[in-house]
Amino acid sequence: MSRKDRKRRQQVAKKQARKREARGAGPTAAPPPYAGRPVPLEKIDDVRWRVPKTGAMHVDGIVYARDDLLPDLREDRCLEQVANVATLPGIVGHSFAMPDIHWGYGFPIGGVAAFDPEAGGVVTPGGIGFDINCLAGDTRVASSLGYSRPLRELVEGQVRDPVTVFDLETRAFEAGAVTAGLARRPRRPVFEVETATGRRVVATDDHPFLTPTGMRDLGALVVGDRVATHPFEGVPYEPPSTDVIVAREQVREVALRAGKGDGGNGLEQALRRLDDLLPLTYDHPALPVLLKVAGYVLGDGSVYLSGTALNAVVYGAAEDLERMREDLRPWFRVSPVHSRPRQCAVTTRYGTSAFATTEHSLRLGKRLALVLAAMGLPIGGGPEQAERTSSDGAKSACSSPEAERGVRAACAGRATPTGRRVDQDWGLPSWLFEAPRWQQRLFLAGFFGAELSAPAPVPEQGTCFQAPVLCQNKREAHVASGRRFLEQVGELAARFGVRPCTLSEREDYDAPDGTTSIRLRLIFPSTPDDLLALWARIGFEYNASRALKAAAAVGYLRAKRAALGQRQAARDRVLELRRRHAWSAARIHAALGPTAPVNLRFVERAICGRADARVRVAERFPRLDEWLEDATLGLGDSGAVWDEVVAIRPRDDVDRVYDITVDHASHDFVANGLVVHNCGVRLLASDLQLGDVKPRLKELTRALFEAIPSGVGATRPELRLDDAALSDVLARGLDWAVDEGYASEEDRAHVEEEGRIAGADPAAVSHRARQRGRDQLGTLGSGNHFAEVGVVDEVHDEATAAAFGLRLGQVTLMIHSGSRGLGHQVCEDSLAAMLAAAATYDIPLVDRQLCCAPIDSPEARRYLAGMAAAANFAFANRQVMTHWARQVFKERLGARLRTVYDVCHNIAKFEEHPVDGQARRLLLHRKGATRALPPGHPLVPAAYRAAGQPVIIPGDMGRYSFVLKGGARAEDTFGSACHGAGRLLSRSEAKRRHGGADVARRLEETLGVVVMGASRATVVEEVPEAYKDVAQVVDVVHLGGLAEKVARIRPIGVVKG
Amino acid sequence: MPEPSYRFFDHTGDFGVDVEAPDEATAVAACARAFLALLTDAPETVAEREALDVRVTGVDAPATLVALGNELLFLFEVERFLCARFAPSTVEADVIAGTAHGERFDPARHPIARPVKAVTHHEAALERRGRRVRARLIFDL
Repeated sequence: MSRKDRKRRQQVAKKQARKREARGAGPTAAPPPYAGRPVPLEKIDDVRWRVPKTGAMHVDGIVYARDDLLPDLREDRCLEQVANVATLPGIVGHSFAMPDIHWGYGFPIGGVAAFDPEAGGVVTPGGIGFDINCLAGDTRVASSLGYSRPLRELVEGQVRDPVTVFDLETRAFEAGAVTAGLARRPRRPVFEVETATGRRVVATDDHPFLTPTGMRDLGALVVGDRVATHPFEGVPYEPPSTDVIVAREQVREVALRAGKGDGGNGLEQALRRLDDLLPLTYDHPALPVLLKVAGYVLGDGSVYLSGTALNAVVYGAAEDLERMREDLRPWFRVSPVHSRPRQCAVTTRYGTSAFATTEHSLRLGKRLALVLAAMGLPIGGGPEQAERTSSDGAKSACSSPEAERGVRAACAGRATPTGRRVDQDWGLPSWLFEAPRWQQRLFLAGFFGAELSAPAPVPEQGTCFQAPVLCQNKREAHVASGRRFLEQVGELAARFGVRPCTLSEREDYDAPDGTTSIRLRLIFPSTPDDLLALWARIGFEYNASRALKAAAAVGYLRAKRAALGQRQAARDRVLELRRRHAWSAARIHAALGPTAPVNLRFVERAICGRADARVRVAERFPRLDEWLEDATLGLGDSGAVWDEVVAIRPRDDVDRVYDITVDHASHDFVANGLVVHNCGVRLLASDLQLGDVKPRLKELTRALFEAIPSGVGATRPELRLDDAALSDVLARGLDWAVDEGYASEEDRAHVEEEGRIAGADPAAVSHRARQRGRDQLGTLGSGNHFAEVGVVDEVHDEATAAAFGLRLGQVTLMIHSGSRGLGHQVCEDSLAAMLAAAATYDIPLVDRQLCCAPIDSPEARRYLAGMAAAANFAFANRQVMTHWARQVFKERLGARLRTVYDVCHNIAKFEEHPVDGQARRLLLHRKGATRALPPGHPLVPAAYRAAGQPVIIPGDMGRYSFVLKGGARAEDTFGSACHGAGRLLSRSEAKRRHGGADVARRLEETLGVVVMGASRATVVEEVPEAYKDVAQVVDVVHLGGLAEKVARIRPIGVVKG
Repeated sequence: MPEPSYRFFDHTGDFGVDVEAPDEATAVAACARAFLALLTDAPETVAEREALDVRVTGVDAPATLVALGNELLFLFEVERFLCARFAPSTVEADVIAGTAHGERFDPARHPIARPVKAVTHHEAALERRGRRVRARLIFDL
């Protein structure tokens, strides 16, 4: 996507987000095209009907059916659903319906639709922690004072520090007090979540994280989900000492010299008013705020002599000064923020700059001024001059030369400087260098809030940042002192990992007295590591604008570093594949899968380029402003940014977890920086004839019933997957089964996509999905799923049947099952995200189950990666059942079972199909529809390529099923055909008509079919009369040329869930 | 305690449930009870021996109700827990919380009629209509 496109989409997304905020988070509902009226069907030919485009439909619907099937189609609302699908963005060709169509969920079952990624096509399926669940003890909790402490320490030490809270209402970071804590053994599974930018947190699976759709439990998170993070990291907490910074006597001396006489009790009263502050020690609770304020005063304020008393003033943005006032309120009485319009003119040697502004100031009061002076801040210009102290030109600050001299003398003992700063020799007070780092940070961040340049990208470039600069002016005679001061700032910054800075100077201003003012500039390094150290560890206090820009810059730099890491990993993978297989660039690119962050050109360059070539971010990597639009969507100007989950790992080594309660309506805190269905069918051919099996049919069916777990909770104890093994199944599908001895190479060659869908990512499968699937591998499931022994009773195409290895009278086994609960959970997890995505991307929904996201969106990529993993699970599931069925056939009858073919019929896949004569890469949605590729298609297994792909169409358990081959007109429906008979009776109607009868006995007595089911209700509800005659359905696709009949199979032994 | 009021309807091969109740909490509780009645034809066999805290979220009221249904399904599939009664403490558009009272699945005592694959978003509803609250869920069997 071009930057322009991205920008446009982000603008749309932002606008929609605002709308959503106004009406709630859900998607926009749109009227279905044929709401409340019959869906018209216009006859095209004997087997095709058109649903004319109307309303929001982008294309016509095409329904495959003969006249005799039409009444059944009108029994439910499936035709409405055909029209609904036609409203989805980017749909290509038509919204197709196979003859077995029936009412589904969003998509009709038996629906096929193709979406073009280049035309806005969609896919549709369907860490701020929360203070009631548990985290690992070493989780660092962010304090609003800029340090972090392990959670264990907070709980066990009963520490009641203020912690950083994300206000869910105002979307801003605030302080909240810890009011309670607890520690216990974990009662829920524990996982480690890792984000793209390297944030990690260990928590129980019920611990919620802030996501774009609200708080979500860790257990429901999947790789690719977005979680909110606080980019600022601060520094670890160190306990401060009890050493004294300012003693009472020092304050007395400063006050006396300022002209406060010791004759009456005025001085003593002034000192008594400081009783709660003195002696000021490193562990004094007021010190953190004093450090921030002192740093800020040093940069954009002044301590000055007013009459016989010291006073202090600071300048800045009104909201920043209000925050300072709030911070000081527990200790000092501070005046309201004063605002006035000002006409300003700043003259330097290089010109005069005049401007009008509103000046906001905060008078800090005598009491605080005295303390600040005693802490070693310079005493300089008064309120009328202070705003110009950093740019020179100020007049004398002291009210009288005598008083100024007195204060100078008093401050000499602790190096408190006085006079105009440009005319002073002064440096940072020595006690600051003895303070714990978090206290040094508070001072520096206050100073930076006033003086350090704002984080800004390089103009016209947008992906790199300008070097941060700190400026000070000094008269010639004091330049050495100015250099020393800036070097001290550099020394302190180095303690946070910022490398040595550069110092520059230039003549700036000629004063009326003939002296020259020199502008000193401390230039910080601009490498990402240095910038991260400066902005993420130190940052800005009392400057919300710069703090926000720093948070954004830190988030962006981390995202850029993560993107570089992914591309480096992709390059290593490319070179490995090239070395091992000597594959072409195109083959390697395909093997990397659709979620790889590189294009074909990247692969070609990696192969042909220099081995030591440096990986760069992709050209389409967003500029800062583009990135920010997306990364902060819905988070306001809080400084929080979205980060992506890249891994969720189980942790069984955590024996104790911790929890704190925060006194804030949002009940959250910042912990370690943190605020997708599928089934198919497999046909196996035995080397037996009906006569071999018939005498022992009951025995065989029972043995299969016992070998293949079916019904609630049934498993095979010998197959228990740990998390690593389950990940292997999800990533590799049939490859896993081959390695584990459940499948042969021959099996693999006869499965769609060789049983491994490209782009599968186990990490895109949530813990909840894994929990549902862990014990379900090799199990049949319930409902319409079955394992069915059959016999080939008709052959329609001898040559093709022979190519498929089928012959009249041959015994077969058909298995219909899918990805079980795992696949459903993958779908459910994704539906929640897709509902939000439909709102974000402004896709009105005529049916909530049609929620969707653009194919190139993160939400779609995550769903496709998870769905592919679920499909791999389904391939492996059918293979394991095949393995057990083979054991039964061998043990009972000494027979073999050979895989004819295995094909999905609920899946979304990228495939290439001709559109208007041009080959186009489309995302095919087959919902209850089977892939049907014509003869010669490269994706058909070599053994069947000349004949066409086997198409397996199960019927009901009393009549028959069919085997077809991809037809000559399969491309009319993007290579798709029907997947079954289609349901005729509802379950309750089936039960009403047949519930009183012993269905199994009737089938055995009348049709010779042995039926065994885990649930009697299921057997009744799946009675043959509940389904259409599959022969009628198959005739339609045969006559339509989508697939051609090869053989018919009659069931003789059925296992139901 | 009177049985919460709900009504099953057919959806091709699956079932849906419609609820009308005086308030949201009663509607949610009825949906939970209907889920049990779908799983087993003998919901009265499930006793209230255990209580589990349940909390789900969604982008809006229907999504949150679907999330509750899927949570109950998850508890059954993974924890083998059958919820006999759900007592809501919070029912809002984006969150439903409460206590699930029930017991662990015992095949000898709890006849499972039809396992549920998923609770779908299709036609899901939880909305006030005049003085009544209407809820609808469709289950994939």
